[in-house]
Amino acid sequence: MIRLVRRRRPQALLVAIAVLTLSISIAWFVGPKTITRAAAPAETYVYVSCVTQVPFWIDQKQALADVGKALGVKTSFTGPTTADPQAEAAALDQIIASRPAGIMVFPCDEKALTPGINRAVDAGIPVITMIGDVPASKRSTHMGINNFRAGVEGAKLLAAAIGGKGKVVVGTFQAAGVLDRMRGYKDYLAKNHPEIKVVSVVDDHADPSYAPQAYAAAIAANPDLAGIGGTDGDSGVGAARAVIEAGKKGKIKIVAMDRNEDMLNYIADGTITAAVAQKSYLETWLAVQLLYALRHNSGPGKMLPDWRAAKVNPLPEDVDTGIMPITRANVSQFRHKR
Amino acid sequence: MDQKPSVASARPGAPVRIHSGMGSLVKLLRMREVLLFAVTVALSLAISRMTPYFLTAGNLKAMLIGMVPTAIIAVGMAIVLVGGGLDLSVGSVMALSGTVAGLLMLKGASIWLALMLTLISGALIGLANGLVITRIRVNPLIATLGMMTIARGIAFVATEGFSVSGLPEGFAYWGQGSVLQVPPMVFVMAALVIAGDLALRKTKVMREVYYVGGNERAALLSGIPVNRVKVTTYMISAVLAAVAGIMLASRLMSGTPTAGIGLELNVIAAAVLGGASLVGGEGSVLGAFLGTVFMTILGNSMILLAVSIYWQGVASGLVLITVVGIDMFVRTRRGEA
Repeated sequence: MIRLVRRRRPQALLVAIAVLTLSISIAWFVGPKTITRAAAPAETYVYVSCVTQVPFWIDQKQALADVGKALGVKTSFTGPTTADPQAEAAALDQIIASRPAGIMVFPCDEKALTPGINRAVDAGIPVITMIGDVPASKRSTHMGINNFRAGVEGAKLLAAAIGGKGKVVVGTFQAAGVLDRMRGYKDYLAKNHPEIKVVSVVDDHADPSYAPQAYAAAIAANPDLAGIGGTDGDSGVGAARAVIEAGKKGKIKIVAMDRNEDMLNYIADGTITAAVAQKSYLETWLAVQLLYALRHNSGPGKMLPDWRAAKVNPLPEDVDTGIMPITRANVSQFRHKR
Repeated sequence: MDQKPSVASARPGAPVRIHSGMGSLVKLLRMREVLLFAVTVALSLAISRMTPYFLTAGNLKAMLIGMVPTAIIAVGMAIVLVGGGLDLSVGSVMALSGTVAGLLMLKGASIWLALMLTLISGALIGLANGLVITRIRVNPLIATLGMMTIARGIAFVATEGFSVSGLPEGFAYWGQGSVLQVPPMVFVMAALVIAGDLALRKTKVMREVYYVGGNERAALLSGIPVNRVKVTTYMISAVLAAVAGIMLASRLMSGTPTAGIGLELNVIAAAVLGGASLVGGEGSVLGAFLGTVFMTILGNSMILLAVSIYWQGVASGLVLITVVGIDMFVRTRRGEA
């Protein structure tokens, strides 16, 4: 027994020395090169978002790829797949550590992301907030219309579709930006159309397998329902299926949001009256262009190359890109070419 | 096998009942299902008093159609739970199957070929789950959790986030056709529920699932091919999730990679409501189906009654705990738990 123990110890020691020597030599030869490489990264522009899996981001991702190719820079799109502001803040911090040339942020939650954005700007990385603002931060620009305004635009279309009066249901799900759209809907209708009553708000869980059920229940609960206003991509198909299955196509008008591919057929055949699409491609394209100009002191960055010392924001404070209403008349143009 | 003495286990009650024959097994199952049925009826009556729109043809039809994918998956989940396992990957397999079926049809495959291949892909996923759990001995929670993210990830990679639409007209039959006023998929659900329940109750092959779930060591010592039984349950679960995905894709005429996120937890809740135990050895397909009906009615009622969306989660969680709590309380009093 004692002999075995004695024999084991020298063996373990030998193994430890071998591993240590190996790792030191690897670090010696490989390490310095990788560290130097990391210190001079390729010019990268990163878009940090949340709920990153929904089709809504398709246009942004396409724009990132295209503008990256056009300008000869790297772009990437990242963030948690859930509506988790803490996870997004964590992702932002990790992106900052990789020293990109510029950051675009869709803020899942204003307060959660303010410190991260400030850290980025303090580290010399300009930040543009996309389709949702963080005004208390040091961001350069807010790009795109915010979700509240998108909801307002949807409400305008819905009011027009149902002739200015009747009962409507607003569909949403529980993520900060989408709830803002719902509030935009309700706010606009309350202020401008007293004869339109929002009888309930339906949570469709952003789940295409659940959405039709949720809207069907709302339709059953309100037999004289005139319209459904959707605030997310799944509301379109969900509401359309529910209306068709209830045999009320044409009697209940639907206004949806975003430009999900499978919703377009329902716009073409009139089940959905209109959808509110944001100019996502433009917003992203413009944002990268502005960040690039700042980085290279070209374009708008030319006149004030030392804007940091001048303590001035050389970029616009707010760029309102508006919305695109998709209707039967123009729906064929919105099909994504793949 | 019925005559063998029961082996001591961590849950002293269960093996005794199973080993003492069919009669007591049936009696136990019937208790929970009857309770659930009664609670469901009571809930329905209460809701119909609160709103006149609950018992309307339109609402009932909408609920029936809406619960088809969940009910089909619940059949598989009941079987897995009875066998002592857990399958968290079902929602993702449902989404993946819808997109796979859609992509195959877009590539030119005939509808039947696409559906066949989709079901085979479901079986392969179930096989993978089963092998990882039985051969590599990864805990079922972890194994199916991993598969959950992998399957959905594959769906996103294959579709790049787009939903797959432009599917051939004929495919709409299952989800949008009309047979006796309801889409054919309702009958598919009914057939699977009945077949699943009878199989689990009556066939020798499926009853082995109860033995494996009730006391794995005893089952192994009795000569039951435990690993094969377990792998079979996971394959059944995945294939049924694939069927659900196909039915859903037919209803929406689009394969959506985002479908059914979080569905697995609802299905597990429905199965447990219906009498399944997370430890295994208990439960029934009929119970899981009734559980699904109960949860569908609950969700439906909250929309009918315009309960604030912020409160709905609180409400459904409380009801779930209450219903299962009552049953467990009654069982403890009777000395069965």
